[in-house]
Amino acid sequence: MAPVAAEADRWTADEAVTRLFAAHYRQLVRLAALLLADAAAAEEVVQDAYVRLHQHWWRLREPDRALGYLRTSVVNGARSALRRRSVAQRYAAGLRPPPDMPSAESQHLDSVENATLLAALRRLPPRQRETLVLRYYADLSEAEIAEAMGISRGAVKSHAARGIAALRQTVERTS
Amino acid sequence: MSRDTGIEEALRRALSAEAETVETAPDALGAIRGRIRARSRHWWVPRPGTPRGFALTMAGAAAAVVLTAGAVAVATDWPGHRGGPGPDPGASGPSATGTPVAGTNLPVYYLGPSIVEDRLYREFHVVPGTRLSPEDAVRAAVQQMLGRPADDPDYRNPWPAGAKVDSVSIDGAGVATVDLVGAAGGVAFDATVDELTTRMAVQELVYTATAAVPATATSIGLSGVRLLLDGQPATTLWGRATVAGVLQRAPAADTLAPIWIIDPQQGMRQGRQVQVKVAGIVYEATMRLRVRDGAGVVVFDQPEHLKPGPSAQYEATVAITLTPGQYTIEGYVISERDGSEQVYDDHQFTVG
Repeated sequence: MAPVAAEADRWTADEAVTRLFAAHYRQLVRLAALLLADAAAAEEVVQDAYVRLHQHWWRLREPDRALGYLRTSVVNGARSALRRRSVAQRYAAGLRPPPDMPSAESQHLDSVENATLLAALRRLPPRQRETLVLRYYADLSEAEIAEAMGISRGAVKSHAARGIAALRQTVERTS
Repeated sequence: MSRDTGIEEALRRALSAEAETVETAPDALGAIRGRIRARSRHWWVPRPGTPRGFALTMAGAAAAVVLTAGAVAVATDWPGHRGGPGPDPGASGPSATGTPVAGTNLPVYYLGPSIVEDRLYREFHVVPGTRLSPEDAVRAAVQQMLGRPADDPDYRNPWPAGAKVDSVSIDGAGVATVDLVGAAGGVAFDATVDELTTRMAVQELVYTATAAVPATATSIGLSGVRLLLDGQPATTLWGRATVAGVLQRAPAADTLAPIWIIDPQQGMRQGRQVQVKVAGIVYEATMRLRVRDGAGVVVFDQPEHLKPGPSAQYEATVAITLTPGQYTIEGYVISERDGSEQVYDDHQFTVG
């Protein structure tokens, strides 16, 4: 995700929402969708983050941290949404079957492997799952992940190591 | 794919492919602007149907269900109740009162995920010194809470990084006045926490402080906590919760996680005879315990009927014999509604 422009400190709240929407909305929805396994709920969470950003814009003394603020809001919003039973149940049940693929066998194998990995990811404890999505989808640094999740960098390392170890075990079992 | 070295690359590809399938609504920006306008017109009333409103409704519903278990009163703690991650964890066992430890074993509370919202979980941490004064015990326990990450990485402390205990005093009515520095938050920090987290952070502090001085035959223990921030009486915390006056423990059913794995603690190493101890506030006091080995294979899975214990939570103890290796123990319940599993707490431990 590209850094927010330096002129951000002159934007009004409306301008900030418009520009940050253009720059980051789709990627944030995809991030939320990976955290939630629910695209509709993901849009709701990300829109809520933008509404909160608008509400707090005048207090954000470091507008170049707006993307960090949005990410943290999305992670927190996804946690809250997952805690709601209906979403949690859809999440647990929600892995879509591997999509119908073109005939190429290698592509088909990839999709099966992807589905296995994503299913295993969704069975991880919430913090491990969040860490892996933020690292391997959003490509965030340890410091950025720590900020987004509100935990220490040491905890990020620990969640990542445990999550990857668990995924590796699953893949080895299913191979 | 090389499974030993390529798992990270494979995960990257899988997440990217999955993300590519997600598209956004055609007029999402219009929807956001509409919500901003609606909020500015009605900023003084709660927004019905918002995630926050719904979460609160669900919390209320869950509390109502929990209360039907009839297992709630005021929770108590008992320092020294078990060994914890002390210098001699192998010697610890359930209710190991009197087990010598080189320090004092204090209960420390953290937030952790639960099905509906974050709730409190408890760990025992050994702090230096024995025969601590009540003030020193409160100071040590709260400092552990603020400064030492939980052993279980699923638990977290929502207070600002760097927050510390400045002083603790206890008056004749058993109210502890706790002065914290670096805990008042600020614009950037406040924007990252919500009301629920703030309320639970207050309860995390109150439960931890009051647990450090339990009631005994000769003492009533602590009745509440008065919070000072940077030496000044606090009225609100992080702009989201009122903290004026004496803060008391909220009812356990509204505050504590429905299931705690008490023994074995996260990261513990112990002998083949594993004494498992669980506590919970769950429907009809029935839960299930499952143990998986390092390969994820289930080696133990059975229902446990919890019985009244020394605290508000009901408890169960079960002995399991395991061969040396890595294990994960999970406490869970089966949903009455649809038969799905709801895992509440899990700990990893080592045998041998």
